[in-house]
Amino acid sequence: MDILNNIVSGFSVAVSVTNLLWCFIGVTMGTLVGVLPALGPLAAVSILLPIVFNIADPVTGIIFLAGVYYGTQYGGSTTAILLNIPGEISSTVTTIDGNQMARKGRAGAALSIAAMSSFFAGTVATIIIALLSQPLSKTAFFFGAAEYGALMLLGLFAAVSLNHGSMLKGIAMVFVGILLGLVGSDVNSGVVRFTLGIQELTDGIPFAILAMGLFGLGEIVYLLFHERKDNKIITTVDNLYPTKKEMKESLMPTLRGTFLGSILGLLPGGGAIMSSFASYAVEKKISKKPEEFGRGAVAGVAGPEAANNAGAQTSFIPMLSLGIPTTPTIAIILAVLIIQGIQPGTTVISKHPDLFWGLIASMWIGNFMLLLLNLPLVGLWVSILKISWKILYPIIILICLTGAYYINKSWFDVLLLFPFALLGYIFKRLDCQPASLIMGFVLGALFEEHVRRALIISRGDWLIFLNKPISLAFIVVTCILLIIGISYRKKNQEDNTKILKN
Amino acid sequence: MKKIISFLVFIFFSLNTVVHANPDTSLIVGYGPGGTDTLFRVFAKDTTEHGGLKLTVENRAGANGVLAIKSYLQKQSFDNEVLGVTGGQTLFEAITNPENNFIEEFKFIGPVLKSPLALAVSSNGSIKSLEDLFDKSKPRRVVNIAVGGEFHRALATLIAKHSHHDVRAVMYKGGADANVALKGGHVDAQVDVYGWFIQQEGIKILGVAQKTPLESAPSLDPYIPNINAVNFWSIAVSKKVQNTQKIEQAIRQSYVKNNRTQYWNKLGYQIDDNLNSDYVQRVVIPEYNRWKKILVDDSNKKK
Repeated sequence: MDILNNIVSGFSVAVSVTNLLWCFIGVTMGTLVGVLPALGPLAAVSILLPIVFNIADPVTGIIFLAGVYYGTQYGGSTTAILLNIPGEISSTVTTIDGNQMARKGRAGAALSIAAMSSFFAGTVATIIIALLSQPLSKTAFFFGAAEYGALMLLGLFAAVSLNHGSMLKGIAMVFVGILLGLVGSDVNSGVVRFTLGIQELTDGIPFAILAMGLFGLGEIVYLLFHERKDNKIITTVDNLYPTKKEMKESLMPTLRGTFLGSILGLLPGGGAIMSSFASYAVEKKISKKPEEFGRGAVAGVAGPEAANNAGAQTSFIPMLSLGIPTTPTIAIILAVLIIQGIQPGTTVISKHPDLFWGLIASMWIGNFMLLLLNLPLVGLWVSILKISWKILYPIIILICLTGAYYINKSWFDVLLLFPFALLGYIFKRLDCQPASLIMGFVLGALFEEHVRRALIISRGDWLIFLNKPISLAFIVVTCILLIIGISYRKKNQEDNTKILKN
Repeated sequence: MKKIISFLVFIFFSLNTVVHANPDTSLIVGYGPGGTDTLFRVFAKDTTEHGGLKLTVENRAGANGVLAIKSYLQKQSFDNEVLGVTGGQTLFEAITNPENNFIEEFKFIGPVLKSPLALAVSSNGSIKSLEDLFDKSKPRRVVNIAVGGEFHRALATLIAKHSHHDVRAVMYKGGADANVALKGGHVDAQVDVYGWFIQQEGIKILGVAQKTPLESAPSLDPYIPNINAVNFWSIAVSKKVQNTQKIEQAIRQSYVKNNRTQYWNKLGYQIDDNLNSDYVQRVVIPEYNRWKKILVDDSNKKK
């Protein structure tokens, strides 16, 4: 009953004209900035931060920033689906099937499914925050270096499955990603490695540069060498909105994605970024038609998008109830709270109920606004694909180049785009999936960091990974997946041999 | 179709203009958003609101702050840009990578914010007092100290040197990650700045790395003689910049009007506004030499 009263009071804060207005401005600006390649939630929140200091009420300021945060997530998916450019790590997976759907004339359906599953996940995550934020907030503490190391190992195995077709190619792509992720400073010792003496690489290769080069520019280079007969990216656009069959296909992946994202969003240190990857891997593993993944499977869009949005939302739980930022974007929002004189922690709910419950209510309202904003815009976004590529691609190149420069205000980053564009072209020719590389790039570095940290803590004793129950569970699951993968492959080979013999 | 294209191009360039627009004056911070830059965001907010100078924080992360300093100092024109300097990192970068020693190339133009490093433990952890860590009569044990940066690691190294236990520094990506490990019981203690610790719940500050004890924390001096590990933050400009009166005045005015001294003290930071334009010569360089002696000379002796 208390919770119900709190939710009602939260809505009374969120539906004030000022808060509604700022929430709308936040989600709209977030969507618009998120659509620009290279600009993910972190950049959007940083850029729009000064506006918060001009807002008198800290609650309104946080509602605005939260709106920007999940608005950017929506916008990022749009670019991933339409232009095959992931704006941030979490939308990388959406490019695989979302862009394939777009190319088959189902861009509108892909965008609508992404918006609806995000809305559903956002709604569920909001309820989770309202009901379970206190007990769930402690989840972060169960995960130490050993647990994260084992989780990342599981993620790396799952990454192989992102590649459709050859498993060997999938493994190779993950390894290339791991190698690229090693460039930069070693977190544990501070030693700089594989930078070729280039100081700009001391902190590693920026994710956005890698993603824009491999996906966006790589695609354009491919087009230059293989001139299209038609003048447009897609020639036909079927129904703008999903069919009944597509809606049905998206239902269960959305539910599973929401569950996975809600759990992983609670974990700092790389948990949240795994949510969309994990959802994709699960959907592909349990699908009756895994061969459809990578060729425009609805589940490949619905699951990851739901996971992504649920994770973004539940990542607020450790921040609000414990003062722990789970992602860099949440860290900025946390900093804003502190600057405004609000100390996040166990007492925030009792000391600032208007902030806590108002924010929760505004999350649902913001998600609803995003749905209303995005569904009518689907037609406009889809029409981008009808533009001649001779006009559209130069614009994309321009956006990528300015975006690349903006990240660190560095010309080096702009130059770095080109080798990755070439690499993206080569991978496309070889039919290799850059998403596996991205997963290897992100998780490989985290895997190394956590494993080495665990070994420092245990003084070099590898048994630390087996002594901890959570870590042991992840290792067991990884082993089971490995055995299933190998036996499935063996069975496939035997079936193929039989078919050939017959 | 042409209308749609024109519309999209218009949207793109309008957004680009908004996103990449130059603010009045940029305060360049060499770290990613959400950490050190928080302090500079308070500086910027005050100067904008009370000093009449619009300062906008820009994060230019990379190479422990070096990329931001380098790109700033390499400029021919310094219009509209000032630098947010974090003393600890700047000193340690200069010591570990002498080619990145930029200490004497800039001057401080804002008040200096200071906070000593401190050692904290979880409220329900096994280490309860400094005696548990330094008393030689206690049985030898494994102690892991979480650190979020090189300066923090230096204090953990000093603690390891003076404790008879098997003490190791475990590096994390920043203080927040290290704090989660501490509260989760995955490490035994954590080193960070005092000002950051007093905002955290569920921890106990065992000691501060300065001679004078603080109200809520004793000094580590009885266990580590002559300990003095104080981090500091300020706004700086290149020495090549001649006319800085306007911005100096704006920053000072914001402090006078806003009376931020109390605000910072409450958060565990002290303010040193006695700059006399020689802060680098008077404080920073001697600090650099002292740490260099502790870290480099000691390791040479060991070799």
